[in-house]
Amino acid sequence: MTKHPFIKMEYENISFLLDKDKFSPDSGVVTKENKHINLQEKLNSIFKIDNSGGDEMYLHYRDGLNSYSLKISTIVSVERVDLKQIKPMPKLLRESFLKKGILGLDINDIKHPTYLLDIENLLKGGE
Amino acid sequence: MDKEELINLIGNKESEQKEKKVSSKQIKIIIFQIDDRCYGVEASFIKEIYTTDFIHPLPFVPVYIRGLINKEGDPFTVVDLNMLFNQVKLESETFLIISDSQDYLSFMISDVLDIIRIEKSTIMEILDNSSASYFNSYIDYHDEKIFLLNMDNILSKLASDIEND
Repeated sequence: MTKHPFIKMEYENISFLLDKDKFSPDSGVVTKENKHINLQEKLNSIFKIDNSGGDEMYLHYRDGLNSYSLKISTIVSVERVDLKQIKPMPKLLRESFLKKGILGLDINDIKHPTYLLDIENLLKGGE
Repeated sequence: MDKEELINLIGNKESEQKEKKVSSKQIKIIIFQIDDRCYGVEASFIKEIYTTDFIHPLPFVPVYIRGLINKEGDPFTVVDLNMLFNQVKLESETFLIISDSQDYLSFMISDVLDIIRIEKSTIMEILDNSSASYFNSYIDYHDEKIFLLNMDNILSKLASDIEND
């Protein structure tokens, strides 16, 4: 069993996973120099969620020269997830979902969908 | 005929190969029901019949893609054929798992009625077979005309709609 740490956000009964290794340990603190990305708004747009409420929390992400602070929402936990549980989307849907920033899906608990987000894709064009 | 029996019939490739040697002019057809209509599909396109009571909904897909089912840990796309053909939502827990080594795809149906073996020569082609048609031929089954799925056109339609959605 290969487990990997993920940051789990639960939002409007949908769960999202982000690769924890891509984020700084000082997450939770806003740094003014960072580009500010409202990840919550991006997810609202992608998943057509009509809700801008919830707590504010920030994740810090760096990709070389750039650093970002990502506003995320509600509950956050760090979980070690068995990578075998995360499946790519079926081939018919894969490309379309990759374009939206979704790498795969954990369908272990099918009544509570959990999407693995492609953070690099979601940050494209973000300021 | 119960479901176990049907599953054995379509899954028994060894006996199928043996029988093919006897007559290559015959073809196996699965007759299935969607709502109150009957349709058919060549058995070679179908891997198995599967039942589950939960469909995991998906965002940003065409309305006839109802979501995913979890079949033994793998996600299978669910296509609601009634929604595709008749724009009416189907409620069912029965799925035809499509035989495709590259993808995980299933069709939601009401029930499987029969599996028949017929002479290929008895299949009537639909002459006006446009690229948009979901059916390419039909057979007579108990005095009823059963239209057979045009899998190529259906799969092309799915790919095209998802790309443009």
